[in-house]
This record gives sequence, C-alpha cells and structure tokens, in this order.
Amino acid sequence: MKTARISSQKSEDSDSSQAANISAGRTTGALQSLGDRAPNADVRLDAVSVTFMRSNGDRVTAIENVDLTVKTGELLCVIGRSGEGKTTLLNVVAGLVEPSEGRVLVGEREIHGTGADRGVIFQGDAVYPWMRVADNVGFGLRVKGVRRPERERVVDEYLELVGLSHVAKSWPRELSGGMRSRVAVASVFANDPEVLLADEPFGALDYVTRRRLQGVMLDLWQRTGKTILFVTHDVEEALLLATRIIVVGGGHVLDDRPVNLARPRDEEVLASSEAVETRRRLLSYLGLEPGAGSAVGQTNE
Amino acid sequence: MQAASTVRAGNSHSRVRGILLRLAGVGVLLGFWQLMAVLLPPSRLVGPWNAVSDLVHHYNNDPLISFFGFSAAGYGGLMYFTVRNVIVGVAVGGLCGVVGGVALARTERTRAATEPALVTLGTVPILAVMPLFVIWFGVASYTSVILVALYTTILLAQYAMRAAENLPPIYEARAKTCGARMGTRVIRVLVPGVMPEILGGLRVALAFSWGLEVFAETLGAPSGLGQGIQILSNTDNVQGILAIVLLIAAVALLVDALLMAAARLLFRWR
Ligand SMILES: Nc1ncnc2c1ncn2[C@@H]1O[C@H](COP(=O)(O)OP(=O)(O)O)[C@@H](O)[C@H]1O
Ligand SMILES: [Mg+2]
Repeated sequence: MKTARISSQKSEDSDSSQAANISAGRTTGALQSLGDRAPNADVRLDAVSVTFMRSNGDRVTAIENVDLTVKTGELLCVIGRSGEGKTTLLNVVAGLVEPSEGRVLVGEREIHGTGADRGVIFQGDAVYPWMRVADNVGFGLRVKGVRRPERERVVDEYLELVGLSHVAKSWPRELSGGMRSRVAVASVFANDPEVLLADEPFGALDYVTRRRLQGVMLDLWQRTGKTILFVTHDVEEALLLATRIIVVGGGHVLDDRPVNLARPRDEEVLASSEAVETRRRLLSYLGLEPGAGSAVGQTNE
Repeated sequence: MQAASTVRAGNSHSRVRGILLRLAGVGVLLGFWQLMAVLLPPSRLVGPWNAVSDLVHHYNNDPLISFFGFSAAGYGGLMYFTVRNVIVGVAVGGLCGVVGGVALARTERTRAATEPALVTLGTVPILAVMPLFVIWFGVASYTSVILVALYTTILLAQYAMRAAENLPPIYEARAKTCGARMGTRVIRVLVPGVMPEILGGLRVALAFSWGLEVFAETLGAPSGLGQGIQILSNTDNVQGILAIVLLIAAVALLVDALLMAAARLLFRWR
C-alpha cells in the first residue's frame, strides 16, 4: 500500500486531505487483481416495467418497458428529475423491487431478489449506527462468512483507500456526513460485488466534500473495473464520472449516449466543446434551458 | 475525537447534577414523611428511621412470618421470592414481546390482525384479572409470574412493533443487498436497531411489575413481600408494612439502576 496517509492530522472534520491523496487518475496496484478477473458482469434490462400501487389505490408506472444493457466495467450515469423513476430502475437491478413485467439479467443469469453480487450505495444514510466503522465496512464480508483475519485485512485496505483508517474504531455518530458517505462507499467495495449501484450517494453533501468523494469513487472504479450504475440529478457529476449517460424521464430512457471526454476530467476537458454540448443537451432534458430539445413532458414517443 | 471526549465530559458533569437533584428529591420526601410521623400517632405512621430499623431487625428473621410457615424466615426470604418472580416474569415476557412484536411488524397481514387486539388487551386493567388467575392456576409461585409475563408481553409487543416500524427500511434493504437472510437480518439489524426504543418500555414494564407482583401475592401466594404485607396488616403492624414498602422501593430502584447500567454499556453507540 503506497497511498500516503497523514496520520498525525487531527482535524475534527477529516473530510480533508487523506481522501484527496488518492488521485483519480492513477492506479497504484494493490487491487488490480480484482480488475483483472473481469467476469461477465453485463447488466441487461429486458422490457422491464414496474408498476406501484399507491395506498389510495392509484397505479403508478415508475418505469415502462425499459431495454438497457450496461457493459462490464462501464460507469453509467443515470440522470433525471426527481420522481422520474431513477431509484426504481436501480432497485430493480438490486432486486429490492421485482419487475411487474420483463426481466433483469446479470451476466447470463436472470436475477430474482437481492444478492451480494449487486452492492448498493443508498440514497440515504444506511451506515449502521450500532456498529463501529470497521464493522460496518466488514458487514457484508461477515454475512458471507469470511473469517476474521481475512475480513480485517480487506477492511483495513478499503478504510485506507477512502482515508478513514484513523476512525476505524469510532461509532458512526462521531463522524461527519462526508465521512459516513465514505464508510458507505468502502462498505460496498469491500464486499466485492460484480455490479455496484449508487443512488445519488453524494446528493446531501456540500460541494467540496462531494468533489472529493467523486474522486474516491473514480479511483475505486479504476482500480477494480466494476460495472457501476450511478444515479444522480447533477449534470456536472455525470460529466465528471460517466463513460455513458442515460436520461430517464416519465419511466422511459429519453437519451443514451457515451461520454468520450478524456481523463482526468479537469477544468479544461470540462470546458471543451464536446463537454459544453453534452451539458447543454442534458440540461435541456432536465428542463433547465427551455428551447432546444425539450423532450421532457412529451415522453410518449 | 477530541470533540467526542468533550461531549462525554459534559455528560458526566450533568449526570452528577442529575444524581444530586434526585437525592434532594428523596430528602424532601423523607423529611415530609418524618414530619407526618411526628404529627400522627405511632399506630398510624412511624418515621423512616423506625421503618429502616424494623427492616434491619427482621430482615433475616421475623417471628410472625416464621409462624405462618413460609419457607422464608424474614423479609429477606420474602424478597428473594418477589425479586425472582418479577425478573423471571419480565424476562420471559420481554423476550416474547420483543421477538413477537418485531415479527408481527414484519408480516403485514398478521400485524393488521393483531395490533387492534393487542391495544385492546393493553387497556384491560391487569390487576382485575388476577383473581381469575388464582382460580385458574391456584396459589402457586408461578401464578404471579404468569401475570407479570403476560403484562410485559402485551406492553413490549406494542413497543417492539412501533420501534420496528420506525426503523428506517434502508437498514434492512442494505442487509438484503449484502445477501443476509432473515435470521441474520433479525439478529444483526432489527434487534439492535429497535432495542434502544424498546428500553423505555422495558423500564415501564419492570417498574409496574413490582406493584403487580406484590399485589398478586397479597391475593394468594406461597411466599413473597405481598404475603408479608398481608400478614403484617392483619396485626396492624404499621412499622413492618412500611419496612416492606421501603424494601420494595429500594429493590426496584436497584434493579432499574442495574438495567440502566447495562443499557449504557449496550447502547454506547447512541
Ligand atoms: N414503493 C412505492 N410505492 C408507490 N409509488 C412509488 C414507490 N416507489 C416509487 N414510487 C413512485 O414511482 C415514481 C418514481 O419514483 P423513484 O424511482 O423514487 O424516482 P426518482 O428516484 O427518480 O426520484 C414516483 O412517482 C414515485 O412516487
Ligand atoms: Mg431517487
């Protein structure tokens, strides 16, 4: 492990430099082996619809007849306005919601219900307050029956990667929101799922913390080569992370295009004409720039 | 982490103040008691000191109690019976109530069917049922245990249901996505998640159970502080009754303090 760690640092909110040390562009070895085995972890949605019954008896079709394939190793960002079916799409892949119609496949397998092969970073704080930080990160491994020495090794590794080694023995209540988000990220990666599902994981964080965690996320993705579905309502976040962006609206996939921007995506790359064009298009889908391509509201093509 | 220890320090400071306040309250109560004892004749009320002295004298041996042929020879023996019954009753009832309540909360249909029934049962004055229990189960040591356990089960099942509903569903969803089966989810997520909220209910059940047990004992039991009170009241032994009341209060406070100490250790994470 070559990642430098400033252990003497004792600032109260430690969303500081440790995480930033993990530079987004480099891969420092340790976890390469995970990326190398790259099994078929394609995610395929085959004519998937989800209909909910509201308590007042109304039926809501959250996603309708969606076909989507996410290739192994892709980092797909799903954007869309609130209430348009992003979480439902993710939950269907997670197995938390059964499709009303259609099927979901991971690799060659049709999936039913949840499984440790698909890890989720939830939209809210799902860190267990009754477990210390290290136990939270090791929870999935413990469920899998991984023995303690091996578990501790993996937990230490991921805590180090997200810059939280110094709070391994702390209770979650002693951590800031950003640190808890890092616990959530480490917990999911430590569990080594084939597919990683993130539902607006950094939505509740301040700008600086969010930028740092996006760096952490990119770094872990590049080290592990996981297939990632990343839901966000933030166009900048999608531009920074994605290999491909889809726009979800009214339960349909409205737009689906690769993002071919160079990495690392610094200010210059994000100001390039391609980035500007993509940004403009995405914003218009979100209804923020009236005029060009206002497909929102007329989703029934 | 420096901040965390500051918070702790603050807590222990205010805890000391809390203890002092409580002691002051007890002092006022004892003072009032002493005052009333001075005003009333000893056949009606004796002072706290006399009660304590009676307690000490008859803790191991009381002629009246030995005379009635209990296995116990003094207040201490009677207390052992009462304490054992309350703890067994609350423990059994607590286990049934928590597990049952959590399970009910997680099965939509059973919950709909049982919740109104539980709430209705909860409103039945449990003391009024005791004579029935004596008829059904006889004058046995477990009759009052059943009463205490039943009361605790009904109360804690309601607490557990509400706590399980209040637990963010995201916690269980996370466990599911880690591949955890039902048993693991109950042990690692549901139970630790609901326990702090149930603690309040457990305390209420425990506090109320002392009265329940002692009252049940006065109606018929082979031993216990309630039987002690019954015998002493037949001979107008005010001093003895007060001694037993003091003993019950002291034991109830001690057991509650032990419970809270255990809870502080278990719920460090809060
Ligand atoms: N469990 C549910 N019961 C009923 N309706 C739901 C449920 N979950 C989501 N919905 C509805 O489905 C639609 C999509 O919700 P969601 O996927 O959470 O949107 P997003 O994540 O994009 O904000 C919304 O109209 C929402 O009200
Ligand atoms: Mg959502």
